[in-house]
Amino acid sequence: MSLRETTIETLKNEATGDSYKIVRHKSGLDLLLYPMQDYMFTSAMFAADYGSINNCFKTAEDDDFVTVPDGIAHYLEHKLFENEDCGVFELYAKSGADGNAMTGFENTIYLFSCTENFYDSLRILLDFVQKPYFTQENVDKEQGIIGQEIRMTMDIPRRRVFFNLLTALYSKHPVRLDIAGTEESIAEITPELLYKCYYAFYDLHNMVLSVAGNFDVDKLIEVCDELLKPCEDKKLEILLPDEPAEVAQKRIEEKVGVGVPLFSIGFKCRPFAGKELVRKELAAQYMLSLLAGVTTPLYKKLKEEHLIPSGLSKETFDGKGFFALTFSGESDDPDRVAELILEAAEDAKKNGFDEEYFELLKKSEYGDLVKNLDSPENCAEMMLDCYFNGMDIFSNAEMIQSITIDEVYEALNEFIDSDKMSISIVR
Amino acid sequence: MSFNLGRERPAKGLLIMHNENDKFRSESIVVRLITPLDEKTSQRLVALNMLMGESNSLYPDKQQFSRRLTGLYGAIFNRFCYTSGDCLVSGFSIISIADRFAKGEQVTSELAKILLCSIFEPDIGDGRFNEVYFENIRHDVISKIKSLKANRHSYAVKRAAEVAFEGEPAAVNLLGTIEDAEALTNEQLVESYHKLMDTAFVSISFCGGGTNKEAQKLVTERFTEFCNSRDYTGIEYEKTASPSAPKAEPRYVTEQLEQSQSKLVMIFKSDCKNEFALKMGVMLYGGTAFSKLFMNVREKMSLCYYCQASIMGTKGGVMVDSGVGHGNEEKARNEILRQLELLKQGDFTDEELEDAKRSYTGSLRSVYDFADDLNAWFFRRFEQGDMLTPNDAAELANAVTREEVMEALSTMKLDTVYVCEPTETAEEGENAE
Repeated sequence: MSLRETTIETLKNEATGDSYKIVRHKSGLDLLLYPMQDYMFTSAMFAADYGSINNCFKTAEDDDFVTVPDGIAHYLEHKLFENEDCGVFELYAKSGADGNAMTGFENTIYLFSCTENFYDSLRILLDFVQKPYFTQENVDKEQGIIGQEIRMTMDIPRRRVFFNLLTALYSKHPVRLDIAGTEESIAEITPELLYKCYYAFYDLHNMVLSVAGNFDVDKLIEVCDELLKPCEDKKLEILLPDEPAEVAQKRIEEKVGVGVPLFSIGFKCRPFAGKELVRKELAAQYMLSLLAGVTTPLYKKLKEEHLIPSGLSKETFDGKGFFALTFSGESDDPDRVAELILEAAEDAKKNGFDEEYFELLKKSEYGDLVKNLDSPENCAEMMLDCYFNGMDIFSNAEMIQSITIDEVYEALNEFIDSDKMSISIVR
Repeated sequence: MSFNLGRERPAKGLLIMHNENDKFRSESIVVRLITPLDEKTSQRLVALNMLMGESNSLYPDKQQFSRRLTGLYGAIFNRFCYTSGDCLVSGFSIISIADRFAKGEQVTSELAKILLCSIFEPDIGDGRFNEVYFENIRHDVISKIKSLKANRHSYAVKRAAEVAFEGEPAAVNLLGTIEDAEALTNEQLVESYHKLMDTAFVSISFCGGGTNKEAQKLVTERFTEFCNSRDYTGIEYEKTASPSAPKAEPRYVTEQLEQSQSKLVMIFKSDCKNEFALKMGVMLYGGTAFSKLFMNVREKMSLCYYCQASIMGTKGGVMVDSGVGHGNEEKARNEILRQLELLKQGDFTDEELEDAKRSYTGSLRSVYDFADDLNAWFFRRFEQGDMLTPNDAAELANAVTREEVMEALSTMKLDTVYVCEPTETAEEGENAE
């Protein structure tokens, strides 16, 4: 196996005077390192480009694509916390770190934060994530815990209304499935399947380490030199189904017993990739603020008609093979909310947006960047998010400032289409 | 890098706290108005707080108000209402970038003026708040009351606290009833505003980088002048903590909601005077991912995804909450109690106690790195009636002995067991065991 040379690149932001480093480590892992010597706190995140949507894949060892049970990426995350001789939390207890992990649609993140013994905790993190230990017994034990986690999430109506929306928007893409799977699907998970997924996705070339806070770059690289185990390229291929442009269903309703109905309105858009995805997402975010932010006529009307007592949240939701815009909140009349959103979009298509406010939004984005750079945790998270999008914090900030009003109108015209709208309501 | 900590009482009914560190790039000013909790006035004060967050005489239009904040580099204007012991704390905060990042603009003093305007000059033209905003807020309060059960977990925690502190102000439902909200009038809120300004104890916190000197001066002078001009006869709060006595017998309440999983909340009460011994005991019990509850109720018995213990600081309580499969409530409850008994008897190693101390003191050190955490920390210390720094607290925690932990845990008396179970199989009403 031939290894690359370790290289270090420094990224700088002239406006705020900040900088951080990207280390292309010889093992194949990229390290995103943001030293903040005035802080005691350090946040470390070891992430795999592997999430719940990666349920059909093939490596060089496979003759054909393999489909694995829904929720297995999340199950694997739980099980990695168990070593052969003890649990990872017991190890962190000795170093004083606060450890955790999370699985999303597209990636899995193992993280810890600490104010002392950083290198000891880093060793624990790098070691356990590279050392799977799955047995029938410990896999069976987790069924009850994850079963209760699934039930817990089912008791969160805000989450239900959003996941129902995804099933309404998407008919084939695995983003329509719950990240944790179902109690039935996780019952199919075996140690062998976990190992198969582990060796396919937990390849250092498919992972990244993001660290911000009080640490020394050279010392951190030394620990990485010692602990990172280079692995061969698995020639991993992911299969995502061809998703039709149309929504799967226009409307989905569920009764779970909430006082005021919850709604999530989604617009399905064509997917993008790479830097185009980032640019489209940013333009869409500006567009959502100009269309439905607190300062807009739409928001004022929604409040005056008492349609959004707890406000209106608006988001872009995108990744590999999916791109959607969502509007969510509580309302006694979600259909009227959807009607007013469509009316406001039509009006903006004809008469344009408040373009002065667009410039103010850019100032606000700059302010958010400055505030976020106050926190090692936010820095580690931002570095990671940008990395998975092929960006860095500062190029991302520049891109935010470079979006034009024409791109915003393009987003409006392309993305707000009543034919591609679904509404999810939980009553 | 320098840390500035200070506390002064420049006028009757006014406390000003500084907890600043110049490493921060953001600045925040928090104004808290503290009044005794009262069932008759809490809904009005909540509605008033919401209404004062909508506009002020400088920006009577909510859209213009929001637009101005966006233009000030996305400054955040927050409003809040919560209970602290037997008090109601309502107030406002502003968070912004420091002026040195604002490309020549003086954002912090501009924001201080906006904050002062919202508090001293709300939009009360002709003796009434803006009618449209008033109606919006009245409607929002009704919706909030209707939505209380939407988050099953927080609803269960709230209900358990209501049962545990029944008869005390801390049990007051801040949002009140739908009937009262429907009857709420604009005049009542104007009257509540004047009464609040006359009677509230004011606490101001300056946090963040501390470079907003002009803003601090504006706020300090305005409030000092105001507090000196009013005839304040209320409580000169030194603390808000008000421990609750345990019931003679624990109370068991079971209710039902449409849900997938039972929510189990157990509240213990303690008159322990050694705060950090109890803290270490609760860390060992259910405060970490290596605690007795996590390792046994979750990891060994696979009964739940979460089972955690936390201190209810201002009421002298300890709360354990968990989400368990219906049918396993009793099993979980028995194990939660068994683990507590074992700890009381000293069934923990010195190493486990050291691990708990390490975890706690680590989290205390991190407080210095987050402006919001520093603000919250020093207000919590105010609630307790002292001014311990996180470093002071770490020292006290590190000095705790295993005997002190056992003694502290022995003061925990089971007070309330609240279960919210799924409807299909549940009986209706309240069941005493």
